[in-house]
Amino acid sequence: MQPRRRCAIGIEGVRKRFGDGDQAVEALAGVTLEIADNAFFTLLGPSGCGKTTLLRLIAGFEQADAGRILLFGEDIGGLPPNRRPVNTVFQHYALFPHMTVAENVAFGLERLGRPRAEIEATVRRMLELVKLGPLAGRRPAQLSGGQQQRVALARALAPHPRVLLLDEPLSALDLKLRREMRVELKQLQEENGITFLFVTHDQEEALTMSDRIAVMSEGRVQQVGSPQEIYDRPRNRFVAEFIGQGNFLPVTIERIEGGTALCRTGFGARLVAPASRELAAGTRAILAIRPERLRLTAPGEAGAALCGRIERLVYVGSDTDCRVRLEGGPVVEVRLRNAGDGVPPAGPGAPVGIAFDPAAARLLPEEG
Amino acid sequence: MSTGGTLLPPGLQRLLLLPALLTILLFLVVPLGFVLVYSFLTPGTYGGVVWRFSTDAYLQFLFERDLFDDSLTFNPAYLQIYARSFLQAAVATVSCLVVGLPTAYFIATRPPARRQAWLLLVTVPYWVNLLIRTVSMLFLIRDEGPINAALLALGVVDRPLRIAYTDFAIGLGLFYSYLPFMVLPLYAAIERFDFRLVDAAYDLYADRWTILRKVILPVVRPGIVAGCLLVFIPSIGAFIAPDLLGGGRNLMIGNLIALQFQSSRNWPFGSAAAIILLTIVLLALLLFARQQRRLGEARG
Repeated sequence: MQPRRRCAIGIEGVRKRFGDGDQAVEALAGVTLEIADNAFFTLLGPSGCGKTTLLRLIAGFEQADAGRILLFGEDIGGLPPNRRPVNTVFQHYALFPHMTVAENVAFGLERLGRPRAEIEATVRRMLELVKLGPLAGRRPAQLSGGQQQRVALARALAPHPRVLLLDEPLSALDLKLRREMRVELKQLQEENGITFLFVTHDQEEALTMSDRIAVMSEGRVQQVGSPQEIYDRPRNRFVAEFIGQGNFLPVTIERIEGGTALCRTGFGARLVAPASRELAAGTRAILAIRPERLRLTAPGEAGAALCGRIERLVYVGSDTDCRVRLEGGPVVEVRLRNAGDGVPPAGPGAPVGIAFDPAAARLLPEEG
Repeated sequence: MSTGGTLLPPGLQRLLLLPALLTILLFLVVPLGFVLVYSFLTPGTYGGVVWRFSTDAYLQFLFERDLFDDSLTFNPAYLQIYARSFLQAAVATVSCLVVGLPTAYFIATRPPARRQAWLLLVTVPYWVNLLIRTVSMLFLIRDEGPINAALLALGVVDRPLRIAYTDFAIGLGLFYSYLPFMVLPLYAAIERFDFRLVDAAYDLYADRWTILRKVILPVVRPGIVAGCLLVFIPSIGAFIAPDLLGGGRNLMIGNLIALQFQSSRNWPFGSAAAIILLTIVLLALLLFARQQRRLGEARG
């Protein structure tokens, strides 16, 4: 465990509705979160889950209907955006088109009334930080998407906010640039010692950059944890499904022995998984397992927990996705690492066994 | 990059412009040529021109020719008319901007479906002829009109307020006539304005006044410029408002020119006055364009 750090942002029971009457939409249905100082914290969820609303509440663009928002312990709920020591990198950058790159970056510092010399020095430092020094005199329209992105970053970082809010800042970039910017963003955060609150719907972005992730859906936080915790120990089916891929087999828990649950599927297979505190023997549950945690074995081999026939193989470069129809049951996905020798694992129609390490499986509560 | 549509082959695409070009040639370039030529001729006794070269029309603009010894003395009367026209047009432009900006901002920030209805309302005055609108304005502001009647009845004044046939009445007429010309380009500019920039400025510690001054106004500036030109240029040469509302007493350039072709029967001087107006407007536009370009270079 890391030592407990100071809390940069505290969200306490925050609710927000838009519209009224029958058309009201509950964007945030009671959210409580603690975001540690100096962390890269990500709000991850599909569109409409409330993550951007939460960000706009912290920036001050919206007011919460209920609950408190604390910045380093201080309630900032009543402050307008221009009086909150947080800055935002907007999804579409929102650079001032009539100003040069340098003027854009200087904007916040000028409003804060910093001395001219300090502003110039900071702008120069910021532009170097994002590698845009030579383009200081250009207008936003003369820059590529990636360069505009860097200007937006430099502009928001220049006043040295206590927290930097990033609203899907990479979504407008192409894949290659997005990958590069991920590394750079993470570096920037570590070097500047500023808390980053990052909003995205892209699970890969969330997993690669974050110290902690809050997975949101329908205005609620579904799970908070490190990327490993979120991926390996999802708390419910939504989290397991939204992040990475998964196989979900409905089972009945027959017996619990020590830390292990013995389960039976509807089609008669017996499977073993780590027991879950919330799920007692005799209850129905979902057994979740990632495709890459499954192995193909020879049919009927001793360790095989399931057996079936290969239905389809999809070559995806580093791996092959293998769909296996279980005997008397559903289809599961098995992700096989390609050896690179060009030999496919087996052909469609071939009978196979499927084995897995019980520790890799998760028992999740049934939905509803 | 494509350089045009595919309706016509490239060679024929110029044909699309032909009707408009012919219209401009026939109705703008040719008459303007006449005006320019007339301004250098000698006036005929009963109107028209005598085909004899003379620069008298331009001299007359600044000097008075003595009837006996042909000597020239400086006469500022016409310059004053130009100065008054300039001032009237400037006041009308500023008034239109002050009233038009909030109006355009309001319309441009309505839900898209409502904007069309508001814009339609802006154009309603144009369904009625300008002459009719100006005359009805005269009825409103004249000494016996409803405004003065109301003021008298309320005891605000004990004598009718003199509004009609004043410079103020002319200004009011110009303002009212050309206000939509200001609102429409402003609306177009504000409607295109990305209001996320306001969020960004607000987030970067700007207050509302700074946001307006440093972000909104500079970005919608082309719309402001277009609106000002569209009000100023017709205002400075306006004829109907000064003629009806000013009672022909406080002349503006438009009246001066009309007078020369009508009662004064001095076509060359009327032509010269028109050419001088045209020159002033073109010079102003040129200066303005140059300043815009320099501003752009200084920034880019």
